[in-house]
Order: sequence, then structure tokens, then C-alpha cells
Amino acid sequence: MISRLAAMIRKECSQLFRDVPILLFVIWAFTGAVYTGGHGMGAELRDYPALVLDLSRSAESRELLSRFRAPYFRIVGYAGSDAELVRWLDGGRASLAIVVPPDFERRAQRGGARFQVISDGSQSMSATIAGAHIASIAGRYSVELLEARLGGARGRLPQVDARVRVEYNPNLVETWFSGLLEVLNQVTMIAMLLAAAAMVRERERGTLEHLLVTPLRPWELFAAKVIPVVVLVPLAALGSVFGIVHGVFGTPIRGSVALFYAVSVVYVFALASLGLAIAMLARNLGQAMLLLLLILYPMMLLSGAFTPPESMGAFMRYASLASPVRHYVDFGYQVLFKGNGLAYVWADIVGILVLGVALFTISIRRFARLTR
Amino acid sequence: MRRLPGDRALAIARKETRQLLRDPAYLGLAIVVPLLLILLLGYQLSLDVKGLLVAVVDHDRSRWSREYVDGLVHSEYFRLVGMLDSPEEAREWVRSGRARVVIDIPPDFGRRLSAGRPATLGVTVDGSFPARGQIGTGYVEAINALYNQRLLREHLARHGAGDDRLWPVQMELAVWYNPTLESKNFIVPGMLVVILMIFPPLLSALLIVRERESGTILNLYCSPAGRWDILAGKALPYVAVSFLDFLLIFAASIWLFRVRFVGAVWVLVAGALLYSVCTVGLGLLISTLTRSQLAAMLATFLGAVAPAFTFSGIFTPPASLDAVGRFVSRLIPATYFMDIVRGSYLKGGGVVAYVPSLLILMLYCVVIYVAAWLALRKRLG
Amino acid sequence: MEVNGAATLAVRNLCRSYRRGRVRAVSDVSFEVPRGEVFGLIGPDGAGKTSVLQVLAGVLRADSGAARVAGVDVIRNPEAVKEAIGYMPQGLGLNLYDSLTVQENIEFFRDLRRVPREQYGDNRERLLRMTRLERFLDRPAGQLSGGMRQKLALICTLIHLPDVLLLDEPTTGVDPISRRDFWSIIHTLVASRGVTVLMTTAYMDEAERCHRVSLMHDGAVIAAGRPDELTAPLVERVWTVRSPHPDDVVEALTKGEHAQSMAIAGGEVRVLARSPGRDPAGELAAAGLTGFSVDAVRPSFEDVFVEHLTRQPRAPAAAPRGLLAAPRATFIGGAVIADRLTCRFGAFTAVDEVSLALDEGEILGLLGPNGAGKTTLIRMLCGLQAPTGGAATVAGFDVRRARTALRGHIGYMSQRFSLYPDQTVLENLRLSAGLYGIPRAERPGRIEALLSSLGLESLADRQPRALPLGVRQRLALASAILHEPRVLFLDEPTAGVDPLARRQFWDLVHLLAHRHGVAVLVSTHYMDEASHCDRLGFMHEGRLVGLGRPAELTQRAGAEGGPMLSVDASEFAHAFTLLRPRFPDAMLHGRHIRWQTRQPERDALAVRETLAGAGLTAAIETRPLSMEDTFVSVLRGAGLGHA
Repeated sequence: MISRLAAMIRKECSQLFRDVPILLFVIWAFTGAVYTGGHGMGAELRDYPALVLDLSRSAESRELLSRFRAPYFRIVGYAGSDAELVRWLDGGRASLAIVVPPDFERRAQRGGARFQVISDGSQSMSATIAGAHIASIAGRYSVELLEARLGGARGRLPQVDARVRVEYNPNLVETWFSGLLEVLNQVTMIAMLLAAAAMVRERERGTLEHLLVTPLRPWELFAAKVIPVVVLVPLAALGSVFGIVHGVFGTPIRGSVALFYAVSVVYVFALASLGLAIAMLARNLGQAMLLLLLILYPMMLLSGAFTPPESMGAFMRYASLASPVRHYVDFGYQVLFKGNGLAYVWADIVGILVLGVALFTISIRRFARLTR
Repeated sequence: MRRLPGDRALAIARKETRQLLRDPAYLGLAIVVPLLLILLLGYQLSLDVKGLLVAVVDHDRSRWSREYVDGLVHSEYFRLVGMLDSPEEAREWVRSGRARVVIDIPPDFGRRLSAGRPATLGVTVDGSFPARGQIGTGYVEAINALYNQRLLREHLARHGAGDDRLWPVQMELAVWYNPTLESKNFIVPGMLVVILMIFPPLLSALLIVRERESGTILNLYCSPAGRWDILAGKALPYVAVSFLDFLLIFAASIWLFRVRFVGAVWVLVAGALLYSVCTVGLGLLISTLTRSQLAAMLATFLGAVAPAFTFSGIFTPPASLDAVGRFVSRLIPATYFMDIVRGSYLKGGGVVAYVPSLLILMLYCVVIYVAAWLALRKRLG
Repeated sequence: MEVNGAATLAVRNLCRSYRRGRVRAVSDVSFEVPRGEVFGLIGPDGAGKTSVLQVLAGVLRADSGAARVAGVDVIRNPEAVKEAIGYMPQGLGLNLYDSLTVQENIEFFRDLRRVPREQYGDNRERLLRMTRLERFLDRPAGQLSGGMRQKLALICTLIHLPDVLLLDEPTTGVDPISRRDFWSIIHTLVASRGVTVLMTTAYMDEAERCHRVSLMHDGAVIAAGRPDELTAPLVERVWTVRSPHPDDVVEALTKGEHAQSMAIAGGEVRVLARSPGRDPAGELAAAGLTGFSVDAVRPSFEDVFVEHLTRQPRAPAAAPRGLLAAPRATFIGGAVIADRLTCRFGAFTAVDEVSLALDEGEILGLLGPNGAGKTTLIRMLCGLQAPTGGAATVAGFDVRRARTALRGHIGYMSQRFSLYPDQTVLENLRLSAGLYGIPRAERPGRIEALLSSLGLESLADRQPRALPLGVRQRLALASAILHEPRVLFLDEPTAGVDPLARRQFWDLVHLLAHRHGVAVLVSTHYMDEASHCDRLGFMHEGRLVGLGRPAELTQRAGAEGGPMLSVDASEFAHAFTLLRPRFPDAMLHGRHIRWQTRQPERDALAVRETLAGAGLTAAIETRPLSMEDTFVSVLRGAGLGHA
């Protein structure tokens, strides 16, 4: 048995390292893709494009507008008319329009000044966040004006100053989140892809038949396909974490790398099993890829990285427990980012283990059916 | 017999259609999968971050602190999960993820406010996850601002100046296009673009490569059929399938999800048609350039799907990308289709506003198909 | 370049190489085909035939040289030639669309070619009738048998009535009856419309059916001319020696000078002498051998090929000695016993109640076209496919119940290539050694011994895809016997391989069976390989028809159906059209018209009468049945074999 397994694994590794397109793709996935993904989309507000229609043009209005500043907002233009404003918003050149009426200056001193904010609700996520920020801006400006009016000295009115401290990522650096998330996603995708490709190649070339004629057992074949992936991918992930996420983006790695590695091994095993199961289902490579995507995308969307689980509908929240990605993403952030230890992440680990066993069982059954 | 131009293309299209209809796997993947995805995403996925878990450490326990906490509890943005006793416990909760935000109210909170002086409190936000750090901060600040307004009003009222008219600056918020700020109005149109962006090019990229691998491509190569005939004939059925996908998703969005739709339907239809032609063409172009099915899929994924995801404005507006990002976003067809889709659903507006985007999509079609025509060679090797 | 006015196809100094000149697929090839002729490019895989055809069809660019088809300069203007030609690529119906019905396939080609409606109706009727496919119009092409696919592919190629037909291996793997149908269609077309046909084939015997041929090997033309012209120089150079000890015969002649090449086939040694008239009997007697008999035989095309390949004296491949170290085994009842073995896939029966028995040291051949069920049968015996009915025991193990145990004792070489193309030879063999549990210490020694006994040690570090087909086949065999199995299954092992390599391969098989006692079950669709087998079984549509020693089968078929009558007429095309109505079984073999008849004298008389009426004369003779004739006869006898 050892001899069979060893021989097969050597063959698999040799084939993997001679498959140039896939190798290049894997390298890209853990370097370039992580880098660009890190710069990619986020749910945070950044340089939110705002258009200004300032009919007051006073010191007060300028003071107000100056509060709409980086990093959250960026004033992209000064409109001259309502029509222009509508055009900009309709065209999507601005996501926000701030309209300051002509009597702003007068009223700001005496009280009762209003300004209008028109928000492009089609980007509902950003619009909600922007609304919250603007509310604070307006509130703070009001307080300052009041304080000035009521007596000049700051700090004499009953106001609550909420001192916010953001843990783990004090400056809310976008790339810290996205980079790590990208690595975790790539681990998911590459684990499935490598395993599936290894199996499909065997079937398409007709060499599978030859393996089945030898004393090779189904589970040995399975193991041989999975083991190289299980060794390679977590190492690549580590490399990416240290090289790009930490090295380039400067994300601090707070937790136990060993723990991350160990659980990643189990996770990759689970996903490789899934990849193999898919490869057995599909008739050719094209179908396998499409099936892979079909399963990958919902898993990633449900992973809780975009939407926290508590914000999902009840059904989805439970459904997401069936996605190994969800457990892995949570685990990854907790361990690497937050520095949490076993005590915190045991639930995630159990989830990955359970799913891993389930996927393994499904997959190995399909393999056993091969020799029927 | 008839010698119409395009009769060969039609013959090829007919053959492709028949093959497609009789291949349940591809058919299922081409139609069933997008539908499944949209149902999955449309129904349960909400990008609204609401109900953030918040815990409170209240050293004060005065009416002021209770009112403050009430302000949190009664907002839909937060969900109170616990009143804790110590900051250490609070830190632990954030660490373990039981709370995303912890409010720490010092003992002198109420005393100071009742004396008419400013007070502070501490907010700890879990910044370890995307979407929660900044949002959490923003929400707290907003609610804080509201509370501060109330405080001031009361204060001024006590001192005889509590008139709304004297309130310095008030903001009026008008939300256009999606007044209820329901995320489904945002997501579903986005998903329409996503799905039309993923499936047609992937399927069509496999086309020519698959035929090349099976050998039946020789039939076309050794016949008098021209390159246009081949490209048009192959594109036609897949454009039809893509358009069918569009119709199904559109119908689902309107009748099932009841997404707001205020624009002109035919503009959207025209845009969808042009976009389908575009993406199928992109897939065809890739298939003329690649040798194996695997390479075709990888190239499509990297070259068409991934950039569209990042740069076309599905989640964030391209205007808020950096200069390079904005430049790239203006280069890909998905961005223009996204403008048309979001515009048609939520913004409405005159047809004239969409003409530039439609024209640009048309231009893309031309460019892509000409490139494919140049790349296709009726030869082996 | 001057174009012979009558030449429809003319090729001059055509060259084409792949991989930046490293693989020379076509090397300075020249030939001409006048109108209305059937021209054959004969040669094994890799000879360059397909490349030549593809250049002429305008779908492959040549590196240099000139080619004209139907008046069009194909090199400079490939698109212009496509209206006038019909091109059928290699592979049984590879250019058909499996999910489309027969009708839909034909319609597609019609539309692609813009065949006018009036013409289409006529053509279609005629072609369908000729190919006997009218009943199958609504069947998807993927569900047709091999022969039917080939006929459908032919219809699709002919639907626009091209003047030039380019056919790439159109008969490979097709059952003999369909093959004859094909040839009669071709000849009818040639006779009635003057269609020019250029075809390629790896079957040496098909050369006789063409007007003229070019033999190709490694991209170059090694011989060209009319079939009888090519074999003429070898007359009186080919002998068969029958002896109970063929190995001794070979040994004796090897030491001598006069034999250029030898091959053992079924107890006979076929000898190609270096010069005509040198009877090997003398040499054999001088070496002290007795009990042999020597006959002069008619040279075949394979002989022409082998003669060319062995012209340069090369170090004879050392007759491999000790291939296997393990002692012989004995199985009670036989190494392979199958009892009414059946395999059904839904409504389709791939193997229909096949019973056979194979002893150790015996070579059993399964002969039959593609789709006959040979592969499925072998897969069942290897434990790859579960039978739906019947039982079988291989090497003492029940194929249903003891599959895992069975595997270590059998060797299998499949149709499709079984080595990993991206692993070197050595790596492939090491994998095999590992999978079969050969002790690590022994591995290097055994692998080396095996490679050197096959003459392949210099190739240890090459990847299979860089090696010629014949070598790859030998490697696949090496991989299958590394673990010294007692039973060996070979599924079409010599498909597409050049004759010399084929002979070497069979030498190995003989060695394994007769010296080492391995039981060998071989399947093939090459009729001429039948003589290598100790016993032969014909397979057709899942059934085993006829089982016995090759000579016995031929004798029996001859006894039951009579000998072959061969008519060599002055104007064979005309003669064929005259004779066909009276003798519906008549087939054209090049210039000869042949059929099996129980009453050769009466038929001969009738032939002379008919031909005399048209002013034609002919030479008529009877011939013994070839293996293909035997097959057809046996099938007919069993009432099988139409479409």
C-alpha cells in the first residue's frame, strides 16, 4: 500500500509541476490576484464623490463643505444649477449632492439653517453609510455654531464626545481586510481547482482506466490526488500571507501561524474532496469548471465576509453554516488578524472538520463506484 | 437556390442550437444556474449591515446613560446583546466576536451632563472584519449626534432658547432612486450584470476550443464558409441564450422581488442585447486565441469576469476608485451596461441619457468581433 | 511548375514540419493524380499522409513546395479550392455531429455547401440508397455503428458532388462488409462521374484497390506506382518456411547472408531474401535443420514496406531472451474461461453471451471492426466493467467477486495510449513498479533489464510524446508486463504502427506466449494479423462468430462457401458495372473483381459470356480465401452483417 501510494504521489507532484498553465495560474492567484484584490472593492466609504451646489457662498457654507473631506468624501465638482445637479446624479458622476441654500449664512448665525443632501440610493450600501457620516458632520457643526453663539468657550455645553477606538485595524486600512480575504478566497478556489483538474486530466487522457487495472485501491487514488494539494496550497497561502498581506500591505499578523496552517490543511483537504467529487460528476473539463463556479460563488457570497451573518435572513444564516468558506473566513480573521487562540475558534474548526468529513465521504463513495 | 448572405451563418447557428438543446449539461448550466443564483441572492442576501451586535458597560446607570443606551437599542442599526460589568469582559466579547461594538460609559457620565457640561464615553469597534469597522463607527457617530442634538435641545429649552428655529444647522436628507434604501434594489440589478457577465463568455469561450479538440472544426475549415459565417453562426444561439437569461432574471426581478423599475424597458432591452453580443463575442475571441479548454476558461475568468467584478461598479461606484481604477473601469463594457441597468431600474431619465452608453456598447461589439475575425484562421496548426 | 493537363491533383516537393522544424511531417513529397483515378497514400501513422491531405484541402499551410487541385494553386489560394473538394478527415465519423440525427447532419452539410434544391433531392436519394441508411434518418449520429458512421460521413462529404475527394483513412476500423460497400460506392462514383479520389490508409492490403499508390514513411515517399509495379521487384524474393521449430529457422537464417528480413507468424516463417531466386532451403539444410518445407509466395505490400525499411542493414534487434523471470503457472481449466459473458447498457447489448477458453501459452485473437464489442469484452475480463450476465474466471479469479485480487496477476494494454505523456519513460515504469508492489530494491534492476531486452534503454529519459508510435506501443507493453503477469490482454495494440514495428511487436508477443507461457488475448481489426494467433475468434455486434485455428476457419469457410473467383478484365470499371447485377457479391479490388462462389466453373463461364457480349476479355482464376474473405463468409453464414 505504501509503495502504491508513494509511487502515485510522486507521479502527481511531477505532473503538477510540469503543467505550466495551472502553475502560472496558482502563482498569480497567490500573488497578483491578492494584490489587486486587496485594492478592490470594499464596503467602506472612500472618496465618495460629492457634488456641491452652493447658493450661499459664505464663510459658513464653506466651513460646512470643508467637513466633507477625505478619506470619506471627495468633492468632484461645483454645480451651477439644478439641472446640472440632476445630470450629474443621473449620470452617476456624483453619488451625493450637497445643496446649500442662499440664506444659509444668515440663518446659521440666528438658527434654523438647513442644507439638503441628495443621496444616490442606487448604491444603497454606500448611501447608508454616507448618510450616517453626514448626520455626524451636521451635528458637530451645529454644536460648534451653538457654542460660539452661546458663549465662545468650547467644551461648556452638555455634549457627549464618543471616543472611538477601532481595535485591530485602528486606521481602518482597507487593504488589510481585503488582502487577507483575498488569500482565503484563493485558498478555497485553488484547492478545488487543483484537485478537480488532476482528476479530469486522468479521465480525459484515458489513463484512469489503466490505474484501475492495477492493484491501486480507490481510496489510494483519492489520497494521491489530494495530498499534493493539501501540502502545496496551505504553504502557498502562508507565503502569500507573509509576502503580500504582511509584506506589501503591512497587515499585522497577530496570531498563531501554526494554528492557521494546521486548520488550513484540514480545510484544503475538505475542499479538495469537493473538487474531486465535482470532477467525477462532470464529463469533461469545461463542465467541471462551470460546476466548480456554480458551487464556489454562492459559498463565497455566503461566507460572511460581505455581509455579517447577523445581518442575513434566518434561512441564509443557517444555510451559511453549510459553507466551509464561512467557517474558514471567520477562523482566518480571528486567528491571523485578531490573534485569537484555539479557545475562540474551536467552533469554526469543528465546522470545518464536520464538513470535511462529510465531503470526504461523499467523494470517496464516488471513487469506490469507479471500480464497479 | 437562395444565395442570401448569411444563409451559411444560419445553417451553422441552427446546428449549434440543436447541439445546445440536446446537451442537458450545458443547457442546465446556461439557464438553470443563473436562475438559481439570482433566486439565492435576491431572496436572502442583504448587504445592509443592520443589527450590529453591541454590548454596553454602564458604570453610571443614570437616567442619562439609560437614555443613551435606549437610543442605541431602538435603532435598527444595532442589537443589544448584553450589559456587561467590566471593560475586561467587554474586550473579551469583542475579541470573541460576541459583540462588534462596545460602549463604555464612565461613572460620571450622568453627573456631568446634568450639570450642563460635556461628557465622554468610550466606544470600541471591532475592526477586524470588512464592512464592520467603518460602518460601526459611522453608526455610533450618527446615533451620538442624534443624542447630542437632543441634549442640546433640552439644554436650550431649559435656558429659554429651545426653539427649533434657533437650531443652527439641520440636514435634510433626500434619497433619490431608491428612497427606501432597500438593498435588493441595489443588488438585483447588479446581479443581472454579474450573471450576464459570467456565463455567456464562459460558455462561448468553450465553443470553438471544444470543436477544435473534437475535430469537427475541420468541417467548417474545409468548406467555403467564411469567417464571418462561422463567428456569426456560433454567436447567434449563445446570444439568444444570454438574452433569454436576461429576460428570466428581469421577469424575476420585477415580479418576484418587486425591484423598483422606473426607466424605459426598451432601453434596458437594447442594452442587454448589445451586452450579450459583446460578452459572447469576448468569449469567442478568447476561444480563437487559446488552445485548450482549460486555458480558455482561465483566460475568460481572468480577462473578462474578474475585472468586471472589481471595476464595473457592482459594489462600489467607479467614481470612488483611484485614478487607475477609474481609468480601467471606463475601458470595460460591463461598466456601461451597469450604467444602463442601474439607470433603468432606479433612475429613469430620458432616453437621451443612455444613448452614449448604448453607442459605446455598440462600438465594443464591433471592436471585439473584428478582433475575433482577424484572429480566426480557417487552418490547423 | 508545369501541370500535366490531365492531372487533377499535382503535388511537387511538398514540405511541412512541426515544432520549429524538429518534426518533419512531410518531406519533399511529389505525385500526380489524373482525373478519374483512385490514388492511395499508404503508410503507418506518422508517415505524413494526413498532413499532405490537409494541405491539399487548404486547411494546413505547407512550408514549401507546390500543389494544385482542380486547377487551383492551393498553396497560394487555399480558399478557392474549397468549393470543389470534399474532405473527410480521419477518425470514424469524426466530422459528424453526434447529437444531430442522420437527416440533420446531411442537411447541415447541404446548407454549408449551398447545394441547390433540385440537385440535393436526387443526390440524397441515391446516396442513401447506396449506403443503405434510409431507415436510419432519425437516429442520432452518435448511436450509429462504426460502419454506418463512416457511410454517413461519406454522404456528407459527397452531398455537394465534388470533383475531387480527399479521404483520410476512411476504412480504418470498419467491418469488412461495410468496407466493401464503401469501395463499391467509390468505384461507382469514379466510373459514373469521373470523380478523382485521393485517399490514405494504413492497411497495406488496401493498396491493391487503388489505381496507383505512393508508399510513405516518416514523411517521405519510399515507393510509387501501380500496385503490381510495386510488388514486381519482390517476386521470387519472398518465401514461407513451415517448421515445427520456427525459432531455429530464424536463428539459422540470421547467421547467413541471404535473408533480409524474417517474421514468425503462426508456425511459419516469412522470409524476405536479399536477391531473387535464393531459396532458403539450401541454407537451412546446411545449418542442419530438417522437417521443414519451403514455398515461394506472392509478395504483399507489407513486404514492400519491410524491404524498404530493412534495406540498410541495421543491427538486428537482439531477440529478447529472458523477458520474464518467474516460472510458468498452471491454471485449472484454463487461464481465461468465459461462460456466456454478457454486457448490456440499457437497451444496447455490447457483448452478447460470449463463451471462450484460453490456455496458458496460447495466443487468442479477437478479430472484428470497431464497435464489435472486443474492448468491452476485454474490459470485463480485466475487472474494469461489471458483466450484466454470465461468468468468467481469469488466472483463477472470478471477475465478479475477486476483482482486487485479480489485478496483480494480469497485464493490460488498452487501445488508447496508456502512458503518461508528460512523464519520462523511466518515470512511467517506476510508477508501474510502485503500483504493482515490486520491492523497491528490485525495481531499478528489473526496469533496466526490461528496457534493454526491448532495445529501449537509450530512451529512458524521453517523454512518450516525443517518440514514434511503434516505440510507444512497445513501451506500453513493457509497462504491462513489468510485474510478470500470467495473463495478458492487448486491445488493438498495433493500430497505426508501421509494418516493421508491428512485426517486432508480434515477435515479443510470441516470446511471451510460447516461451514464457503467458496466456495472451489480443484484439485487432487488422485481418492480416490473424495469422499470428494460435486461435481466432470473429466478433461482430457483440457476438462471437466462429472460433478456431486460423487455417481451420479459412478451410471451413472455403469448404462451405467455395473459393474466391478473381476476374482481371481489360476495362475493369466497365466490367464491374456489367457483372455487378448478375453477381451482387462482386467487389472491386483495385483492378480485380472478386467474389466467393460455390460454383466457380459455372460462374467463370457466365462471366466470359457477359464480358464477351460487351467486347471485353478477362483473365479468370480462383484464389483461396483471405482472412477478410473468411470473415465475410463466416458472417454471411451466420446471417449477420448488413449495415
